[in-house]
Amino acid sequence: MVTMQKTLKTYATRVGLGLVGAAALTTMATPFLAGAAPVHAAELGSSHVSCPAGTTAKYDPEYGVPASLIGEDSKTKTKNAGTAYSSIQCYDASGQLVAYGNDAILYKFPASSLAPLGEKLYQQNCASCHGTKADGVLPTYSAGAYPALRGLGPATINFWITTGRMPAADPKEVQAARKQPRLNPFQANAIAAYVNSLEPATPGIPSVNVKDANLTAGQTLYALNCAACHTITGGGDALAQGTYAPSLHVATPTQVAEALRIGPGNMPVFSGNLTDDEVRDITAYVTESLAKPTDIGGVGMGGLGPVAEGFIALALGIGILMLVSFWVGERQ
Amino acid sequence: MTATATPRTKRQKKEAAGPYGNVGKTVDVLDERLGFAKGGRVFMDKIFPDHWSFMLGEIALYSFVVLLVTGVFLTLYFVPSQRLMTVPMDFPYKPLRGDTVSEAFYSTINMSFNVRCGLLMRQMHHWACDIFVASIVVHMARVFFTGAFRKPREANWLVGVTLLILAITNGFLGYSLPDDLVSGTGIRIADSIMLSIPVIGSYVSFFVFGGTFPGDIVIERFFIIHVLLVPGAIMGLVGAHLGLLVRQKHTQFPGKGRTERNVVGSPMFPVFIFKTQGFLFMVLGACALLGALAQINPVWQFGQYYAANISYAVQPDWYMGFLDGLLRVMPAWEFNNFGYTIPLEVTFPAVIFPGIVFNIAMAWPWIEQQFTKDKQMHHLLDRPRDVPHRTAFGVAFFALLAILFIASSTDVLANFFHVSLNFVLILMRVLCFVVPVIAYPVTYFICIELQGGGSLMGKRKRANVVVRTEEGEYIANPSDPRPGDAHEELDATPVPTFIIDEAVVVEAEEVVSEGGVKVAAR
Ligand code: HEC
Ligand code: HEC
Ligand code: HEM
Repeated sequence: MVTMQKTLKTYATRVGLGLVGAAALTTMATPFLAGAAPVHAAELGSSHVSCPAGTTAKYDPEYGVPASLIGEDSKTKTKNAGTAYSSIQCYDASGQLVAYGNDAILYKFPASSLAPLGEKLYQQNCASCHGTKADGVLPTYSAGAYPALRGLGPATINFWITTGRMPAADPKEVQAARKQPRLNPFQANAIAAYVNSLEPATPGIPSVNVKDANLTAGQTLYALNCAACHTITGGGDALAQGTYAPSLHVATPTQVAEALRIGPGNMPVFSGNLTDDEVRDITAYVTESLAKPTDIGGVGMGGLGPVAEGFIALALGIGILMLVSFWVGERQ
Repeated sequence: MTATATPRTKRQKKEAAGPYGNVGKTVDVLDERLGFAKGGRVFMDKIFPDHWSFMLGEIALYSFVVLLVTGVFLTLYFVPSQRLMTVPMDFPYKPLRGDTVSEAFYSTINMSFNVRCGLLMRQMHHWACDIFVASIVVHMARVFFTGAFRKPREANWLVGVTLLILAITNGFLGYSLPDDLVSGTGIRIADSIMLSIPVIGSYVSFFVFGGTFPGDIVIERFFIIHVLLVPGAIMGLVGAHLGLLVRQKHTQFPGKGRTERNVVGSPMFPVFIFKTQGFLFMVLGACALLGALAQINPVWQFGQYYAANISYAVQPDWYMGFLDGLLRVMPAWEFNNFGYTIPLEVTFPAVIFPGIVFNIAMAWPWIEQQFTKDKQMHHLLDRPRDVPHRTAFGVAFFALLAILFIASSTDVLANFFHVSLNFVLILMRVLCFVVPVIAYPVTYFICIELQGGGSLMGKRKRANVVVRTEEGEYIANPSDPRPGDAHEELDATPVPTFIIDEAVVVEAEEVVSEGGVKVAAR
């Protein structure tokens, strides 16, 4: 009888503990779930894009990108030519085009006065691989081909430098990885000015008016165009033969728009098929919703989905419950 | 005081009510009308062995309870319809405002954002599902490795395997309901699998979708199967499972006082019922903890499913992983003959292979009989090491499934370890064959070693005393054994008398209890 009372007492404690646990957990859960607060509280008013200070603006809804800037001859140039229809052009005092675009995106050319500084930086940081004239190095004496940079347009140069891909750490890598940039944005601008001075080309460096973006359109376009490589949560994933689609959680709006317009590495160029409005919407969705996901359900696990969930269910869920049965039961 | 005196004080009233008070009275009332006592006795005297591995099945039972309760809550808010609608402009999650989505998808995100505790219920439902299937698998492993499925319990093994299949099926159906990009991809794959079945494939697909994929009724159909048909079947089979268990009584590990003719353990009342209730709360607590703290299936981040959209890195829930994994590692073998295509790269991994796996699982008790020629009744369990061939086969089988399960995340592995996806894929193809083939003999020899070495385990090593002789030579001598260290035979410990006494009484009286330990005759 004594043993039985003792057993009963232990079990009673365990029942109690379990009850307290369940109650505490449910209480803990409530704040998470008491009807989530609106996620994007601030309603942003529409704003208009204006030309950089000291330039004159010309608004012309009929006007496209100046034909002189679009080369038809080389493949790279046409690849980069697909900037949309521009309703705004900005000219400096000497009558040179410094920016073009529309209310969604303004593509800016780096100031040509930066070119001399850019040349110096280029010779220090890039010439060893891409050649002193930026016309590339053929794979005659080195492991791989270093692409020509002439005529790629400022956006391309800016993207590869500001994402830290260039100067390349290891040219034999299958794909130059994003890393802490070695050159700062000003220096990147200068190099872009220099390369552009050798052979002017579009696109300019995009500055995206994300305030006016339509996130819903961005979500829809993202699911249709990007999720197949970057995954629906933007976490990125491995592609074939050592290449990969990187995570989109750190790119800035300018970098996202650049990536869409120039198509870095194995990524396709989204030029003709997406308007500037659509690029703006996707950019806003990527930098606002994907980079800061709405994880109202608790720990988000990096958007890894069922792989992470399965791991938790097996390691934590059933694992802990097996330990509990080990605790409650006899072990012989 | 006489019995006829009207009870006045509290104490008198209590005494008049008899030793069992009002509870006793109620039971009396019921017993007089319905004959409660007899069934109740059987129920209360049911003996449960105390070993922890017998609790694993209960995790399954209680996570199913969680599934039922949270699932009923979900049905209050879920709308199983693929009719399109517009998300209101004041919806809390901005990227979906004004989007065109199906009512099924909207009701799911609405439940997650606007219904109090809706997200908690959704997440608990999903975590409970993951735990439910996992617990069935570990429970099954326990039954398999200890030989609890042997005669006379083959029927209950069949019920168990059926339950596993139903659980996996219902998990897939539930996962498909929210109509988001990820679940839509799952249904798409299911459609391809149906289409890959030779001869009848296209008819099956047309039958399920009421036309071509995706159609507009599949969510409605999955819904009714998910909330009514399969849970109903599961409930019925769980009833049969437990009914058979009570009828055939539990197995038990061999040990002092335990024979093929008795069961040693705790009775349902007053011991096991409290233990198991505590366990219920533990399972509930685990589901609540996960549901509250760990996000699962955030469908608002995925968006509505459209047949043109696809996301990379989409995996099914873990219990479907082995199928997905085999789909990934299977070479693209396709046969085109006489105007017909047999897409073996889909038919084999998704139709033939699971067919083989579940058929082996179902038929295992008889497969084993073919080898052992054992037609005896078994109520005492095997230690896994004592049946090395079965244990080795089980480990190899699980190893194959585990490799396939891991293969379902080839992309995630490649990305995580910065290696080529192609390399991971080929590695997985090799491991599919290598790991089971190695696992079998390794397990087998470990079992044999454990059988032989068991008696030496836990003995202290004897110290070596190093002595220097006069010539300067060193000699190491083992020290004298300390008391208890020598290889002495243990005394045969007599079986505690109360158990023997009881075992004798049992013959006469069915059951007798003492000290929380009970013995019932078979
Ligand atoms: C160590 C050698 C190396 C150095 C130094 C280097 N690059 Fe590169 N660069 C490469 C290689 C290799 C590639 C091709 C990488 C790839 O496709 O992933 C490349 C690609 C590029 C591209 C993309 C070309 C295209 O066609 O899309 C740009 C732009 C670029 N580099 C700019 C620069 C700039 C600007 C610098 C100086 C700041 C620089 N690189 C320094 C090796 C180098
Ligand atoms: C065919 C697959 C593919 C598709 C589709 C695709 N990308 Fe990419 N994306 C890539 C690859 C590969 C890279 C890496 C390129 C490199 O570093 O060489 C990349 C790089 C990027 C980067 C740079 C990330 C960083 O932090 O450096 C951004 C931003 C990006 N993609 C956005 C998008 C968006 C937005 C879309 C949809 C419109 C999209 N991509 C569609 C394959 C793809
Ligand atoms: C056999 C046990 C069951 C399993 C394995 C199971 C599994 C699942 C899963 C994995 C989901 C997806 C949840 C999500 O992440 O959104 C789901 C959804 C759902 N389940 Fe179940 N379930 C079971 C029983 C039930 C029962 C008994 C009911 C109701 C009576 C139910 C009602 C629902 C409803 C309405 C949904 C859709 C709502 C939503 O997705 O949020 N389930 N189920």
